[in-house]
Amino acid sequence: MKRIVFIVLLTGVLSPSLFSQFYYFGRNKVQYTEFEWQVLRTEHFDIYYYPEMKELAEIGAAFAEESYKTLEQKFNHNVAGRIPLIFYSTHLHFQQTNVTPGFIPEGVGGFFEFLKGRVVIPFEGSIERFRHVIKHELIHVFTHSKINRVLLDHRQPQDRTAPLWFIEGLAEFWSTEWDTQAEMVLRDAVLNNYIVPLNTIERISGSFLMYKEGQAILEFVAERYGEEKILLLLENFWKGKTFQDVFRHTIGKDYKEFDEEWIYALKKRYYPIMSGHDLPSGVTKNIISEGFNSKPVFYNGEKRQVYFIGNHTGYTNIYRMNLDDEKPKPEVVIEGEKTDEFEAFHLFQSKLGMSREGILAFVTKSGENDALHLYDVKGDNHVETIRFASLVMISSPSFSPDSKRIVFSAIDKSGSSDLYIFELESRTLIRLTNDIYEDRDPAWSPDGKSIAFSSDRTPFGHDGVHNIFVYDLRTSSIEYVTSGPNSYFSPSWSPDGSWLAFTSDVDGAQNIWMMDMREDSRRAPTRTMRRITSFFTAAFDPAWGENDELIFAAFEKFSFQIKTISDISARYDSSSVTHEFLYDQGHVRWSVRKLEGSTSVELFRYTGDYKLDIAQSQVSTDPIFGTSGGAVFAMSDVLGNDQYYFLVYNTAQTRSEFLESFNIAISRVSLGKRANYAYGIFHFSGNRYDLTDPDLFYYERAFGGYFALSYPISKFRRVEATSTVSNSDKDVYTGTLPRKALLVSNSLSFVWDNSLWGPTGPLDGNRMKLTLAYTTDIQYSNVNYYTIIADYRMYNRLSTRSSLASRAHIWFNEGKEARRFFMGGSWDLRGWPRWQIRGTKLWLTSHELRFPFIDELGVRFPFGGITLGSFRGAIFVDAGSAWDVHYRDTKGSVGMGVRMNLGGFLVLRYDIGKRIENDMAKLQKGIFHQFFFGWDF
Amino acid sequence: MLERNGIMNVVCVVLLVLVVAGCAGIKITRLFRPGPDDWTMYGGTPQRANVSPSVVRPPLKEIWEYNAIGGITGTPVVRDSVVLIGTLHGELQAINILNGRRLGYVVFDSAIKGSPVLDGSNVIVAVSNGSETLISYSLRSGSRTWARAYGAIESTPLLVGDHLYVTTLEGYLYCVRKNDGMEVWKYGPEKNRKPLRSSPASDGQTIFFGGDDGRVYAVGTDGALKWSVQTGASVFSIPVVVGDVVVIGNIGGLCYGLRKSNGDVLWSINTGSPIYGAAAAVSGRVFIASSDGTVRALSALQGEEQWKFSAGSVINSAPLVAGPTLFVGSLDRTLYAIDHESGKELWKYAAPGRIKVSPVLWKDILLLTSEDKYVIALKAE
Repeated sequence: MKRIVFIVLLTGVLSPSLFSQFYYFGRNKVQYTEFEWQVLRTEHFDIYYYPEMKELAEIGAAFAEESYKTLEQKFNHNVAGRIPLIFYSTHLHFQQTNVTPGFIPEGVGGFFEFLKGRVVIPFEGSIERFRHVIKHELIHVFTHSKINRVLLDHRQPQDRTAPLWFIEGLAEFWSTEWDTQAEMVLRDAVLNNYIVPLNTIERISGSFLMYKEGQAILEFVAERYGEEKILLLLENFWKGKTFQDVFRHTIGKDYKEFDEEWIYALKKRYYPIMSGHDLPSGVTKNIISEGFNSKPVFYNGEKRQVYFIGNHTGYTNIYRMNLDDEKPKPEVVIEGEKTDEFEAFHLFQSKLGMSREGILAFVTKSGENDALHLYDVKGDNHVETIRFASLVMISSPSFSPDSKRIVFSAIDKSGSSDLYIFELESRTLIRLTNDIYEDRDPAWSPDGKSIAFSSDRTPFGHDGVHNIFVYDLRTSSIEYVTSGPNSYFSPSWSPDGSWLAFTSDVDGAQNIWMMDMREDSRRAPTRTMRRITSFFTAAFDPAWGENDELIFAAFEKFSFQIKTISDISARYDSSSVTHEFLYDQGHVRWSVRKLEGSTSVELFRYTGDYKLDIAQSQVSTDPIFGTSGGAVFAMSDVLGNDQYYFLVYNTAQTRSEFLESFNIAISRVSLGKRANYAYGIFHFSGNRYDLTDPDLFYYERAFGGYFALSYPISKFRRVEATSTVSNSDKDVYTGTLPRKALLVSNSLSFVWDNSLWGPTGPLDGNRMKLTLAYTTDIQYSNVNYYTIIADYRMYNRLSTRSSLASRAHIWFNEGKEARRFFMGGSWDLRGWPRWQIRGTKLWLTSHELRFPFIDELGVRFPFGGITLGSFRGAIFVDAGSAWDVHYRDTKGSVGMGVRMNLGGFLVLRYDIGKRIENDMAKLQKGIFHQFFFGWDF
Repeated sequence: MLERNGIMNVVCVVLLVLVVAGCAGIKITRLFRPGPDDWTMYGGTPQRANVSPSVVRPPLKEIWEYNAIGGITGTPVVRDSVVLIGTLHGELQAINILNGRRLGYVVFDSAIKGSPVLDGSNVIVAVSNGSETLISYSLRSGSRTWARAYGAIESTPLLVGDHLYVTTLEGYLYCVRKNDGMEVWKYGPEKNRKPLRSSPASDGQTIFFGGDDGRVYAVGTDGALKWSVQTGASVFSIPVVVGDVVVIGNIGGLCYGLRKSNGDVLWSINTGSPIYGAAAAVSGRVFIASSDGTVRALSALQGEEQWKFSAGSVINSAPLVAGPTLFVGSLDRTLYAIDHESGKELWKYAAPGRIKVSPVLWKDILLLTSEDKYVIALKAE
């Protein structure tokens, strides 16, 4: 399957709270690989790369300079300053980047971080895709720079940018051609009537459909109104407060008027296609249509079964369907994305392999690299996991007929995507190809003599075109099966080896075609393929079933469905649509231009290039604590591996207090290696109000240092340790005598989190944290206590969008001056006053049914309307208690509530219910209401 | 005490208003004498040939730098040591060319994208939005002479005799009286009228301009269309009249030599990249720059390429001919001085920012606009 590449613009805002390693829970971005960063300095770029990918970096540098030349003409603008371009040789390395603190999903092909203007791009096997992504991201750089320049020239605040559909649509429009994948999405959207008009395109903001609609809109604008209008949309940016104003000034139409024209044109273009093409569901038998499904493989043991990779719940799994069942239902065989071993499936990338004996071969990310797993489908047991130190990513394993060898494609640290054979008995890895071309989708022939695969090694490969080849294992030669300027993927041999089925976009949509591979045909000077399906969208990854049938994935109604089609021989014989190959386009390989000598190039080892991330100052006045003021600064290096934070604050109320009232903290956070650590020094002084005890209002001066270490065992598990030394000088205003202490506090935690989140909180998976800590005053023995914290949360999915969430936690402090914990309120013990239940010991349990409530709420007024997003409902019961020495009563609550996510970062919660009082003996008279914000537990 | 503070506040506000009011406006009370070195409109003459009557020989050195605070996309005009520039935040600013000090400024409703035009002591300015978009301002009285509504204008007006010609985004060429701004006639295609961003040029009898529709138009001074030619891509650049030939480029990268009398295509060349700026022309030779950073010297009659020069980045403004030297600026922040006979680089100047506006020479002072908001004066060392 041609990989669906979602190239998104991520905006990273670095702040101390954004590195997940130091969250209470949270998964880990593990820096498994230690990179030796080098810098290649060209005319316009500083290119960061590691030595293993030097050749790729030089190719990428040439692409970047070439794109720069084109873009400065298209934008009539150039970018002031050098552009940092950070390359990774594989997607798995790219996922380790610290340029953005967030996780990078499977489908993200690169990003532009606009605060520091950094562009981060992985190589993913295909040179053409590399060129495309580099240009795509550079268009973001130019767009950002151009808009800022236009606003600055007109002395307008640089506080706005273009909408995402335009930013991404432009990046696609100017970086690539309208291809089969874009055509598939638009055809499906128009013919299945879910095309989203420009007027409401925010509804699909960030989706792949938005990317392609954005590209289609700009293609239409260029075609109907002139290419110059694209440039003018940028140059007229100052003319309107909204982009719709700018659009109207430039095109002469508002969004609604434009939609009428554009959607009419789309219908005129696509409706006639229906007469000559099929809807996949109209001519095939459906196997599964829910969710996203791909890479089917057939096995006939005791039952006729289809195995495939699917995502139905948010986690990607391997599913099985028993075709003989009356109502086949998908059954999870391998549960992915919850454990270290099966950390991530490459959903649209790696095919499944099946041996004659019923051994399923599949690939997952597992630790630093991908691993190859073998699973016995008859006995339903995991046979083994095979890891290759030299290979970073693996895909599409295929067994030899004797099941002793497996061929697969893999990417090594240099980024080369080649074919490998692994001999299961001798444990030997053999490399079949070794070049810059992308070799993928290998399929071992049933006679065991050859391997069919898809590759961009023809002269058209320079434009990203893949053809099908056969690798002859006896002669180690490569034979053309297809040739020409169209793409061919996913070859699959018929069980008798006579036929090869594969996909091709030769007729404008990706359909299944077949070719006669018998000896006579293979020797013919010309070869012919015949079309088997005629879908108007696309078909992917055909696999042979039994009884002359093909099982494959098809795109329809914006989902990837598994289908089957029978009577293949008859369809081949009766197919009137054929395509002949002459093989006269030569067997010339193409090469890639690297940076030429005329460009000035410098090469040096990276030693750190630090720039300011944030600088903020604030003066505040509080009726109790008086006026205080200060500033915070943060800076980090270009790779985001080293971060420094500076806090300066003064709380003096009189001039004489000025020096002693300085609050200063300096921290360094190091994220470059697997073990992340942070250390720093601090001096805090001022009046304090201890939230844990309303009677405590005191002055404290504390200074010292700390060291924190976080070691991720995997994406889901980590160990944390902290050590703090602090001289604390406390002056209690009301209460007892002043207290001095030299505190040493050490803690050790274990954190586990594989939860899957919905719009307002977790829906599936588990989270756990165990902490042991000890705090002591080593000088005066005024403080001496230990801490135990155990917190476990479990989310049981009841359906795709509903789940039962449970949590249990115990917080336990014991000793001299042990701190008190607190609870009460919307986040824990609901219905009880916020933070008013206090004690050095505390337990809490909550159980909550989470379900969808209202998906969209539209309110119409005479002057317009507003639409609110998804509301979710909850029914809950809580119980808990807090005490110091003697256990007090158990408190509880029951109730229900609604939650709404605002803007993806804020959840509003409203609960009503009854407290359970008198040691859980009596329900509250009346009901409580609580309105607050925050994610579900 | 409070009362005293109140009085002080009022005094401060009044002073502030006076200071601000005193800054706004341009008024030249001394003699404002025309001279042979004056640069009174874009291109220097109605033909837009971009040939300076003055000569300066590089190397040049900076004598002052002026920050206009807003972006500048039109070339300055100069007379009697007064430089006038229009800015994208809608100000007309006057600078003393001898020392780079601001003499005053006037605020208009919207961005001034083109160059101002000087007519005696009046300056005519076109703005891109607002109720009145063509304005005549008297430098003598410091007030508007007239202001008329002609729709959005993002080009440079042309002054020929007693008339001004201006192209508008509504797709019209207006002929207006320079004394009162009243419309004499307007021309615009009846069907499929597209915005006009290309400023007009003239040989005195005919007005030439390009359109977003890709056509080059020739309209008589009576408002009748003489001819029009389709070039295949939108025309943003300003035509240059060289003898019997009109030279103009489009954003498709094609540069045309058209017979002035009937629009016949005498020659065309494909530069391979958009042409945003105008050309310069002297002695039957045309110098045209394209956005790939190439300057080409072509014979005006045949379009034969005589030499080619490559700058480091986009060139989107016209070169300026000053004696034997061709000055051209690029987005690579460099002003190049080229021998216009051979195309050899004579000298270059590293500007503090991108150069998007053609340089202007007044006597021995070369005015360079850099990073879209700085005006830099250069003089021979």
